[in-house]
This record gives sequence, C-alpha cells and structure tokens, in this order.
Amino acid sequence: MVQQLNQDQTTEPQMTPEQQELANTILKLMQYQGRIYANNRPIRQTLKNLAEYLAGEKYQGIEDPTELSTLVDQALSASPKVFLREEEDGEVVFKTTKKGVAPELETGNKINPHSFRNRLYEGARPVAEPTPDELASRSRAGESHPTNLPKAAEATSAPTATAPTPSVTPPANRTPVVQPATSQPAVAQPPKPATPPVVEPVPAIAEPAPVIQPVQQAPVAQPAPEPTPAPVEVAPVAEAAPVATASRIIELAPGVEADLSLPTNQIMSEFGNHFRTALVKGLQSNNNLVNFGNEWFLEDMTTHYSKGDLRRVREYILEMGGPVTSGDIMNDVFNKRPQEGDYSIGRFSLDYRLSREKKDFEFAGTNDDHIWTTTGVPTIGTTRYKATEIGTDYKFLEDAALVDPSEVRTENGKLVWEHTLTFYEYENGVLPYDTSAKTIFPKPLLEEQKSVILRLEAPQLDVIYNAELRYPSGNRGGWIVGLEGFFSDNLVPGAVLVISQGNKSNHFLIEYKQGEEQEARLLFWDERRQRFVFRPIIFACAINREDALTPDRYSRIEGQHRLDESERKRNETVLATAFEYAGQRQGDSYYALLDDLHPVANIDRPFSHAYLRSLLSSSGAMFRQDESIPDAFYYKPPTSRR
Amino acid sequence: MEENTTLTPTSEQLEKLADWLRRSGRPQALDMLVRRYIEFLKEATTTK
Repeated sequence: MVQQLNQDQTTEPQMTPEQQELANTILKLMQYQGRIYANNRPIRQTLKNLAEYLAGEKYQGIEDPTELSTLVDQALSASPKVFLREEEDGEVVFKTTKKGVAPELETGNKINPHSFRNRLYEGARPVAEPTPDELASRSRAGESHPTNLPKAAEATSAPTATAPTPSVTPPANRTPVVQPATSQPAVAQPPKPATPPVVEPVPAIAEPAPVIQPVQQAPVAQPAPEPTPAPVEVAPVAEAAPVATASRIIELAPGVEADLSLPTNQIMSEFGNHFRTALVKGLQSNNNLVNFGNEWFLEDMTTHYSKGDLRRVREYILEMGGPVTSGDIMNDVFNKRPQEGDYSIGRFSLDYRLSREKKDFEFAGTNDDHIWTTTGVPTIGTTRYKATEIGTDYKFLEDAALVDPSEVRTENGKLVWEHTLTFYEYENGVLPYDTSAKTIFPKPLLEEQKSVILRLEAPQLDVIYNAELRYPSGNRGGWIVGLEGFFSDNLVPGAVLVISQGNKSNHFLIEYKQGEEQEARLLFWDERRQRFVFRPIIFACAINREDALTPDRYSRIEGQHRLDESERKRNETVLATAFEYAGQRQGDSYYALLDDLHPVANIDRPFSHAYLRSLLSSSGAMFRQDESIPDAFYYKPPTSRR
Repeated sequence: MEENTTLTPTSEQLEKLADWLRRSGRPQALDMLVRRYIEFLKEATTTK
C-alpha cells in the first residue's frame, strides 16, 4: 500500500513545496511508465529525459531543459527513500518502484523483481469466521473444524485451504490501470535504453500517453484505487502554507517590497529584475565566481585551456573563413560531444576563456548562439562606402527624435518587420539599425560586444545569409550588412522586405513581397559611364510606387554624376540636390513634398522621414516649410547655384 | 534590465550559492541562481 508505506517514513525537512510538487509529478510519471511492472522492479529514467519532457510540457512555465534538469535533480535527490540516484556512463539516472519506494530500500540492497507470490495473496481477506449458530449446525452435521479459522492469508504465506477465494481482489496488474489514451499528448522524449538493465522503459514512455493520467491508476498493492499516491517525502505540501512567520515581506528598493510567501515563479515574474541586479552585484564580488553572459560557475572548476589550445582555436576560425560557434570549436578542435558528461563545463570554460582574450577573439553571438571570430577573418558584406562612413551616415539613428516609428508588428506571436528598400540600402546591401531593427534584432550579450552575426534564412530561395549587425558605438549609428547578394539578385529599390523572427534570437526569415512579373525603367548607377541611368528591368517583387525611382518622377537625374565624398557629407548639399531632381520649379525656388524628396535623398545617404523633416524645418534660409500643406517645403538655391 | 535595488545578498548566502553551484557540478543560468537565492531568503524568514 503505497500510502501506508510512505506515511511510515519521515519527510526530508529541507524540501520546499515546489520540490515536493515536482517530485510528486515525476513519481506519478514513472509509476505510469512502470504500470505493468512488478512491484519491486526498478523503474528507471534519466535526468535528461525527465528534464526534456518537463521542458516540453513547460513545467511551471520553464522551457529550458538545463534549468529543469537542476530542479529535478535537487527535488529527487532530496527524496532518497523514493528515488535512487545513480550515475551510469556519466549520465544521472533515477530509479523508483511502483510502490513509490527506492529500489535498494525494498529488500535490503537486494532487488527481487519476482513478486508474484506476494501479489497473489496481497489483499486477500480472511474467510468470515462462522457464527456460533453455524458452528453448532456444523457440529450437528458431524464436521470437525477448528474453533478458529486461520487468519487472513498473509501476503507471503503459502497457499492453504483457506487461500484466495473469489472474494480476493485480483492482482491489480490484471486490471488496466489506465487505458492508454492515444489522443493524449505524447511524452516529449521516449527514453533511449542505452543500457540493458531490467528497467528498460521503452514500451511505456514510447506510447503517446498522458503524464497526469496516472493519478487515476490504482497501485498494485491496493485493492481500491488510490487517486494520488504520494511519494515518501513528497507530501502534498503544495496546499500547505509555509510556517507562518511574523513577516515575509522584504524591501527590494524604496517603495518596492516583495512577499516571500508567494510562489517563486510569481516573485520572479514580478520582481525578477531586482533580484537579478542584487545577485549579480553580489556574485561579482566573489572572486571564485565567474560568468559568461548569463551563465555562472566556479573558476576553480573550469576547464583549463592552454596557449596552445587557443592558438589551435584561432587557426580553426581562420581555416573556416568566418565566425564559428563554440560548439563547433568543441567538436572540431577538442573532439568533445554534447552528450559527454563534462561538455557543459568545457564549453562554458571555453567561452569564458575566449572572452578574456580580447586581443585575439571577438564574441559575435547571442545567449543561444555563442559565435566567435578573430582578426584576419574576411569581413561580411561588400559596400560602396567604408564601414566608418556607413556608421557616420547612420549616426542620426541614435537620436530618438530623428527616427521613424517602428514598422514591426506581431504575427502569430512572432515579430515581423516590413521595410521598403531605399536606393542606398539596395546598393550597399545594408539595413538601418533603427527603431524597428532594435525591436526585432538581439541586443548585445556582452558589455563590450561590437556586433552579432544574424542568420537570415531566405525560404523563397532556400539560402541562408550570414549578415552582421554592427552595434552603435561612439558617434556612429548601427546597421546590418551582408545582404547585397540577396538584394541585387532578387530585388529593386522600392521593394518590400519582410523579416520575421526565427527559432533563435539571431535567426530570422527574410522574404520579399512578391508581385506580378513586370518590366519597368528604374534608376541605376552605371559604373562604367559614372552616371545615373534609367534602365529597363524585369522583376517579380512588389514595389512601393511612392518609393520607386522612375523616370516619370525623377527624369532630371538621368545622366548626372554622384555627389563626391565631401558633398555627400553636407546635409544642405544633399537636400538641395534632392530638390533639384524631385521639386517643381516655382520662380527662383523649388517646391517638393517630403514623400518625393525621400527616395532621391536616400540615393547617396540614408535619411528617415523624421530626419529629413527636421533638417528641412531648421536649415535656415535655404529651406522653409509650406505652412498651408503638411510635409511640403520650399528650397531657394543660393545665387551661385541658380 | 537593471533595477535600482537596496537588496544585498549576505556573504553567507553567497557562500551557500557557491556550494550549491559546486554540488550541481555544472554552470548555471543566472535565473537558476536567483531562484536559489529566493529560496534561501524564504528559508531565512521561515526559520526566524
């Protein structure tokens, strides 16, 4: 009888309500797994399987198997009378039995899988003692009988004349304790029986079966089904309130208090940032505690990498010709696989060590994609202008007043950025790190991180592009580079890009809005003739007409030179040129709408609508706003330019 | 996201966290450490 056994054993005092609940959940899961097992047959599960299954079920809102692995290990290790913890080939394994008792404790370190004899007579009830009248009638009939019938057949006794009668409850394992419900969600991870002990769980877990359903099953030892057999030290204390104390309120900041009697998940959800900030400060003060990104460990337990190891890593990155992940390095340089026991320590130690070798290694990854590069690796992207010039061109993005509103929306729970390509972006294969990009792309993981590699998957082409997001620094703005191939092969200026979140923080889908195949004359730069020309081109992407550089709107630009570098850097020159190409002549002035100026201003330099508007409204005598029409402006050229 | 906080872990709590980290035998995410820290705080207020 599971419950009776459990009640006889003490509860571990250190178990928290959350640990008890978790251990209870896992016990039910494993009992269901071993529902057709003998009572004493060990039911085995690896810690990894349990964590992955619970992550799949989003246990307590947690989806990270690593986090759950630690919680599970702690909870089950705190119940040694219910769960036997062992290590097999470097993997942590937990065992229990259908009765909710750890296997080793059942028969004094000797596991006896054979229990039919016990089960045959378990639950047997004694034949009812005859009443005095019955005794008397038997006596009159001449029967000889003992005055007292034997007591109820003991579970371990040999069969006797008073052995099981039809009134004995049949062994519960004849009764399907739970009908396998095929409609139920499948267990996330069928355990892979790596070793052939008696506890192969494949048939049980491999079935699509519910986890919580075992609550309904009857443990074998009981004649009547017990709905919730509680494990030994896992009393259902979830309902029990913690010991009442005078005050469980703590102050986190002036005016901010947390109630520690709330569940930890709730405290984390409401006050997590306060606790994180406080704890990080504390952890940083401990010399033996080190971190890489959000992971922490003890320095004296990290793996040591020699100068020679680091040299091999650098040579590997150069040989690969581009940034690589620390997983690639572990696999290819150090021949370590994720399933090896010390892998997580080795990988953390590698990341930590590389982060301290700033002269030779640069981190360009995210929390879920640790990417490293080194000096000498070819830069990503080919642009008309140097990186420093592009950074300066995008400097205005760091002023919130000069950026356009975000173009990001949410679709099916994922962020989607829809953006119309300008001539500048098309020519250089870049995108601005503006409000929209800052919403959708990952922030730097490390404080001094300069860039991050973005994996942009183009499903329309079945190609993955590695682009680089260069974060703003100093007086330079940020931008994304490396898309010139995607743009030039498939798009034209004015095309509409759609970028949506992928499976990792640096993984995205990049697509373009498709349209009817059409031919149109659009503006190009003729490198040979060093002139702007309108050329017919056939394309199948949808374009925004108001952003397209077509001859009907901008005929005056045909045959013109580009602005030289010094002219390009002067706002007034760029704007004046834009008016001359896009504006209507009115006496000694030009007149144009912002929407007509925007595409042509974005030939030589990037401008947002807000930036243009700000410049045109504040550039003194040359430019002035039409007070009667919003976003309409005049430009009066200086005498020398007329 | 950093928050202004007056909360300061004690050296004893930090040592307990370090012990827990050592016993876990593997690097841990910050949030796991924060959860353990909250558990220590709960235990401390329970046993007062």
